[in-house]
Amino acid sequence: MPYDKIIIGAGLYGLYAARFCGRQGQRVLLLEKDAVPFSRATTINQARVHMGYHYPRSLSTALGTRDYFERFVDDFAYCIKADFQQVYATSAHFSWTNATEFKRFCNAANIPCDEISPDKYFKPGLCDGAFITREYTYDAVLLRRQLLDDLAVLPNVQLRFSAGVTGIEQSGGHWVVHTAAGEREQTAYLLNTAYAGVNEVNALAGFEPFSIKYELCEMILCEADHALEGVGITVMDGPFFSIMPFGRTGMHSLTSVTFTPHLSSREKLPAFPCQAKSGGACTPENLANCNDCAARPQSAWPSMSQLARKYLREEYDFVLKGSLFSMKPVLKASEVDDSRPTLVRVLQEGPTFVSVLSGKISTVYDLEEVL
Amino acid sequence: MENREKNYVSAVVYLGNEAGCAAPFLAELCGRLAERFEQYELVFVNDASGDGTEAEVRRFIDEMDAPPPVTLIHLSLRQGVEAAMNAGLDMAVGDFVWEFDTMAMPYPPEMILKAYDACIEGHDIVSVSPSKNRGAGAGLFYRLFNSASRSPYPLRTDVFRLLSRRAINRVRSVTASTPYRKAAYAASGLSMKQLVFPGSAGRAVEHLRFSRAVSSLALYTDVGSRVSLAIAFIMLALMLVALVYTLVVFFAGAQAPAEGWTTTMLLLTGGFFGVFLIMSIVLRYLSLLVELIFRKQSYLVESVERLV
Repeated sequence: MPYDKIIIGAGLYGLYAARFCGRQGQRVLLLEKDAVPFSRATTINQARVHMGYHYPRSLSTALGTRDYFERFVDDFAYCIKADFQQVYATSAHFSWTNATEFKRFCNAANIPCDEISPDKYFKPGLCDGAFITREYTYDAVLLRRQLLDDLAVLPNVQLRFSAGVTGIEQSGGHWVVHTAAGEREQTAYLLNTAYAGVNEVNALAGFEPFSIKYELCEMILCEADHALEGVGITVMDGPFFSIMPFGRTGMHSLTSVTFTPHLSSREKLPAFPCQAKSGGACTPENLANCNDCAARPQSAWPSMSQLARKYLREEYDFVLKGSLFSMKPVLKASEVDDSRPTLVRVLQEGPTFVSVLSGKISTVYDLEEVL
Repeated sequence: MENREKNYVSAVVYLGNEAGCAAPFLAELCGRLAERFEQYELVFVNDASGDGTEAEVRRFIDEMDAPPPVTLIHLSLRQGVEAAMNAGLDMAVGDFVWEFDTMAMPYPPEMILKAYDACIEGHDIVSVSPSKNRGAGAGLFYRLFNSASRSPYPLRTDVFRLLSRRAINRVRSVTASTPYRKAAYAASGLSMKQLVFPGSAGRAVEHLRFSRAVSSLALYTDVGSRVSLAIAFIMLALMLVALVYTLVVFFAGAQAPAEGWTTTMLLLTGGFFGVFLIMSIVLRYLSLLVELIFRKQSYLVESVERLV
């Protein structure tokens, strides 16, 4: 019996869609390549619940983000960490924005922003403005646990892990989905939430790829010294860095615009030189998990920590705990204004094929209009 | 390999039109830095150079086995070495930063690391100079500058410099901008060392323009305000003499001066006297203003020692 929906990819978007449809009584099958949900980008990112501050060059993105912030924080309160001070600063040099513009932008977007002296956190002359803002972080482990608990009580939703999709074909009014284990499943509605694998799945069904650039990204986990413990710091807007609490793990994530992306690819499918060293486990058509890969790049910790220390005053110190790697797709159209639109593309109807691409966790609600 | 230093260092390199210099220079630089340091980065500033220098640099980096982090800053239009190197310096993250204004190497390559040795001995700024100063114009400027500057470190032609992070932070916090780096470093109040190699700067061109020389003198020395103030005072004195002479002729002259001469002279000398008086006051205010806007710190400290 065909499923009402088959969802490919068990990140937040996949699990959320499964729960949303499951609660409506639909028969849902979720297929995930990895053994565990949230193995890639949902976990391996800054875990920032965006309020919009990040997009001083795209007011539309900022406004959309702000609206979703409150709703996300209410709905997912169990995984939110809110008790820290989130500081945004504008770099005095090489920034695409400055203190005055940033303040004006926050006013326009109607998001809180209280100016403080940059000297409190930064070495002299490096930042021309610093602001106390309101932004939180989510804990992917808690989020996953709750979503899986929610799904466990829905017998009409089936989750299948280590079940990579190897082929998709149309047969009458249905999609037939082949998995690596040799199973064949049918549905009239296929939802592609594979994020970095979005074009991979599109290609299996013969659809046009999204125009994206792939970046192999590293996120560093570190332990913050006492002074930095309850503080998140983001320096805008250009080749800078961010160090902020990572969910409720007690650790901080450290990322930087220049050193976080190690390699990039502008091909339709993610083609990288390191794939040659994966022994066939990872190909552009079947991207493996970068975090578990033996050929993952060497950590950029020396450069990233150096950059952060160049800006931060001595007392805000931190030590290395580890690194996480994942593939991140960036829309090519967003490179100039740095916007992060959510793309929900209905590629075909009857049988329906929908592909979703979003770089932000809180815009998951954009899915609802197509489910 | 295991004994390499943990310090993170940066090299900022100016890309003017120097095709042909890049490969040999980078081979020496990268070889030496990689041998001594675990981590280093390169920052290139392309000052709208159009002769293939950048392509040469790219080729070199592409062919490297384990390239360090490399940043290439493209300036929108040609802005000269000072602005370009300031941009590079702002981008560099290293604890120690080399400034190469040129990729020509008139110096023995071991000077690159010798500068570092001098730096960790406690000299925050190390500049490497040829034994022969270059060019009459530059020589004249340095003589004038050094005689008027109160810095203990004389300026001279140099080929590259090494700065500690402390020196960069200091320079950035002492003055509002850095229109002329060399003068700013010498005036930063930190310990500076000059290493000299035998020979001349050779192809390493002196990038000093006349206008920059004038503004450096105005900003880092008081030669400008002193000279103009002196001229104003001399004119003031001359007018005073002329005024006295007019009065003497009027009261004690053997024969009366031509009709109207005394009034004309009184008006002229009195008027100019007033003008020069006001001018010298205005000049004083102007130099104060420059001081106030340009200098962000009222005193400079080289180090603080605790005796007991």
